[in-house]
Amino acid sequence: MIEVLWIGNPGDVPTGFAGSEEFDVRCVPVEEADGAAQKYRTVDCVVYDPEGGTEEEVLGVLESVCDRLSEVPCVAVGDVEAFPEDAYVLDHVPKRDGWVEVLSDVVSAAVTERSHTSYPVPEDEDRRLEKVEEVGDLELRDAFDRMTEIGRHCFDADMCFVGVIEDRREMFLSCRGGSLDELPREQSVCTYQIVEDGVTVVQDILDDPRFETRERLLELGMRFYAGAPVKVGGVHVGSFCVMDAEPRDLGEDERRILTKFGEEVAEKIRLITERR
Amino acid sequence: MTRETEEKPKEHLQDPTLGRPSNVLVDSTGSPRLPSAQRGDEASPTAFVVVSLLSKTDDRIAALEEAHGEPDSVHVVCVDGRVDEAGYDTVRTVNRPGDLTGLSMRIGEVLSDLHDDDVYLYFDDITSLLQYSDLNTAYRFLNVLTGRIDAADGVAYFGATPGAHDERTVNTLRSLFDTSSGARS
Repeated sequence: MIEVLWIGNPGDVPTGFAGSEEFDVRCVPVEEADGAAQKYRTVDCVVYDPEGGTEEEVLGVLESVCDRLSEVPCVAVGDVEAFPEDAYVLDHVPKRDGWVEVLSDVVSAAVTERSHTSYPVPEDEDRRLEKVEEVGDLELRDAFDRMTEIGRHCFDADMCFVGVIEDRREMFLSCRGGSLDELPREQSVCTYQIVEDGVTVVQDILDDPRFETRERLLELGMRFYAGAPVKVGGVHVGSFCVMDAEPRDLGEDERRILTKFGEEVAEKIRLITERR
Repeated sequence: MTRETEEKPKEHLQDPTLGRPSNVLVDSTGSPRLPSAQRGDEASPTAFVVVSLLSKTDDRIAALEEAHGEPDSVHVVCVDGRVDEAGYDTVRTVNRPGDLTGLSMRIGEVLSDLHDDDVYLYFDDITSLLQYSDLNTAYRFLNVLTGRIDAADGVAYFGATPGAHDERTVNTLRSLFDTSSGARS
């Protein structure tokens, strides 16, 4: 069932939508939008009905929802005249004949196709996330500390880590040279690594259009990134990576060794899985 | 524009090469010939939608007509003042080409209104979009739009100028499209 956070007058939620077997709808009034965006962080989609709202109210809701739930599809319904220009990208279904059917189609497609992300998603994402969940159950935190310690020195890098890309965040199983626990998926370079087959090299993050608005990533102060796939059961669950504060490149031998580190991580995960 | 009521068979002028739904990247320079697509529900009226940040709306309608024949209705989403509003069935506008909130709202409206139609959309174009927006915002905007085309079982063409974008931008955006036609970047 698709979990929908409906922001608007509870009395205005159409029964054809709220009563559908496809959607589990939680409705909160506009004045509770900010708290709801914090409380219901795992919802699949937000529907916002701004009926009668002022531009100030609309902007407040969009800031709460689109900032806190930036990776969640957001669909506005009804009158959007009060929407500020150039604020956020969201979908819109006006309330006209048949609008509930249109809204149902739009919400369903947005969630299943992940069509509101600002980054590419692997084609086998559903299968990939199933494997990521299995890996998450293994409690692997700190299991790769020696490997990342060696990797950091081997590549003379400021930071070395093993990251697993979940649905909306990257979890760091081990990180040397930094204290990262997690990053929103859209802020992570590994998000782009997992859609590639081989080693990914970003010579200078500051010179790459994919990262120019990724503030959390830029706050790390890292310029160089290299990541190799960690594939478990043939599925790309995450990456073995190094980062450095200075821009640079990676030679062919270094790419080969980084690949080996990724394969070693995958092999260790496989052995831990077998021992359970 | 209010179309003539003369009945014409709605057959493809080219052999259809695209399935449905389809989101296709095309070369927007010159007068590109668009790959044709399978017809949607034969009983549904056909509708063209041109989303234009430029001033080539009629050229894009002509390209859609060449690929799909004459439509039952034509709808335009554009920057205020760029087209003669009397020439089309509906015209929705935004104040500035960089207003992606407004653009996504207007596109959502027109696609909702055409929910039961056989929709062919031309987005003109990605190169202009990237002049007004960062890559991540542009990606989300195009992701939402291609998602709506999928949900509507429609066909959409997204113009881009070959050679205008760096490889990282092209590779990132390419994942949004089912195929490309004459567009190397």
